[in-house]
Amino acid sequence: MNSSENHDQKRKPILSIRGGSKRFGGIQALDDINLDIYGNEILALLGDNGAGKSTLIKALSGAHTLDEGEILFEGKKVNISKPEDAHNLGIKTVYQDLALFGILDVTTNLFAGSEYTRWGFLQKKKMGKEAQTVLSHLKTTIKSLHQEVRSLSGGQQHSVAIGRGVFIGHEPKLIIMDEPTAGLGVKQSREVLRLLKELGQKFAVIFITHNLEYASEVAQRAVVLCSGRVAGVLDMAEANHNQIVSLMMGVDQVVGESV
Amino acid sequence: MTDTKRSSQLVSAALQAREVQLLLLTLVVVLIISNLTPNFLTESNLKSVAMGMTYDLIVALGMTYVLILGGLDLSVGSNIALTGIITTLLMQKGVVSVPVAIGIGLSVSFIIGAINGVVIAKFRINPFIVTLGMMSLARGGAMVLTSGYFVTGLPESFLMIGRGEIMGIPFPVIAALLIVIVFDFLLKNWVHLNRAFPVGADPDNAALLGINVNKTVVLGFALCGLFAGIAAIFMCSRLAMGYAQFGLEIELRALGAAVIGGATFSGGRGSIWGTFLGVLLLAIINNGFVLMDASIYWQKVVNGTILIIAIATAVRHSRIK
Repeated sequence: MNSSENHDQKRKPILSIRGGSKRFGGIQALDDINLDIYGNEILALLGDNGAGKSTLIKALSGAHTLDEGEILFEGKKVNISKPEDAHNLGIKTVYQDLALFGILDVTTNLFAGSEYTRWGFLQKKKMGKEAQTVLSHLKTTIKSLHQEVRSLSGGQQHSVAIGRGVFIGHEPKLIIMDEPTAGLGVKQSREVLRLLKELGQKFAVIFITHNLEYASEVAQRAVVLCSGRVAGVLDMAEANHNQIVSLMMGVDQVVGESV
Repeated sequence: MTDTKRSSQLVSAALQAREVQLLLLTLVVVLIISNLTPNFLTESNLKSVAMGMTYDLIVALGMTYVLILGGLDLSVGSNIALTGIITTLLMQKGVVSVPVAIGIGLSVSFIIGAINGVVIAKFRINPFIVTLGMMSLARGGAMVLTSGYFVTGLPESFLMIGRGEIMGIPFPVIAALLIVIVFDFLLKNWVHLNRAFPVGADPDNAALLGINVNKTVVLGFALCGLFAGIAAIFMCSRLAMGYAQFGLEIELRALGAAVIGGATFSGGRGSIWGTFLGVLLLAIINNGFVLMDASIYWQKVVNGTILIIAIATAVRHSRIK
């Protein structure tokens, strides 16, 4: 990719949300959300519990639909009403709970829903090879691909979930990582951050986290949510922790770089 | 040295497989029964065991599939009755030709299963409740159509299906074995059937990955219905009649066999050859009772006990892991 293309991609958002709102009964989970995500950037999505982070990513991954507002993908208005729609656009999500099938083997977990087939028949050899490639790319060694996923270590399970979310099936354009370091030790978290940086060179990445240090380390920008609203959009190179925390708490309407 | 090590590893891995354990258990039971009665290992007895397990086997395949999907189907026995009645009535009255009557009968069985599937998937009602209702509904339908009488006077060409033999082996036995082989292959390799595993293991996750969960569930229950229909055709043909009491309690034997074979009620697990061995084991035990002149009531007691033990161990097994 040459630099001018790179530049163009930087200018045009790959995904935009305009006026996104979502209510659950009496609770306004998302309230008039506007945000842009560009190619080749890592955007941190920050906010306290209940700020609307999960609802927002679920709207992008097709688990929920917005009540109001529109989503533009590569400049075109799109309708993401089910997970399949998100998959077909190239929006890939790695969920915080990993969404793995504990009693099924590694290969099935990696390829469920995106199986390689010929005339409807599974191409098991091809999937086995690809599984090895993906796992070795993630620097993970798993004894046997026929192992049940629940028998793997936490770090290995993370690798399977990330491998599936990122490398299997449709070429990703936007990768959503929901708390990818939750429950991991320091060493494994570093490994995930390294991977995040690597992905950020090629794709648009939304990185949801509670950890401000991790956010400022890998993300170029951050969107801070508070009570379902965008409290601020920050350039991570300039933002300081106090500013972010006050936005998350909703105590101060300090405005960062606006979108 | 490494060769012996590797082969001992292979042996221990094989012994861990449910199918191998079951095969060994079946051999032990065969050994015990054939020691107790000389009539067990005779050609005519083995033939009657094979023939007797055919219906259970075909039904148990469909049951295994819905168990993998995380459901169960209590209506398979009533499905057999209703499908059999409709097929035989059509032939008795000479309304349509034999192949058309069979086609209509199989379609009925498929639709009964599909209705189960649609209600379960669309309205999110527990499969136990839905298929319990269908069990009563279909049995009632079979009774209404016949007022409880046998449907006899069936065309000779239809009776040949159940009574024909190839090299001394009854045609239904050969057909059932072919179905086992083909279904096992398709379940392992055909993506549309294979997706029952992720769907049954965790339907919400499967949906997040873009798998059409409802479609998989509806097709699975329809398939289970179709298997019951195939069993009905063989049963009516072999016994030369349709009867509203056909297939009574077959759901319990099918469930028992599938669970013995490695399926669980929590979904995501099940093996066709495991189920085959489960049916075989139950058939041999029952046959042993018959040969030793034990009362049919004791057979029921033993069958029920085996079923409870199988389910209890399956549930315990899945909790431990």
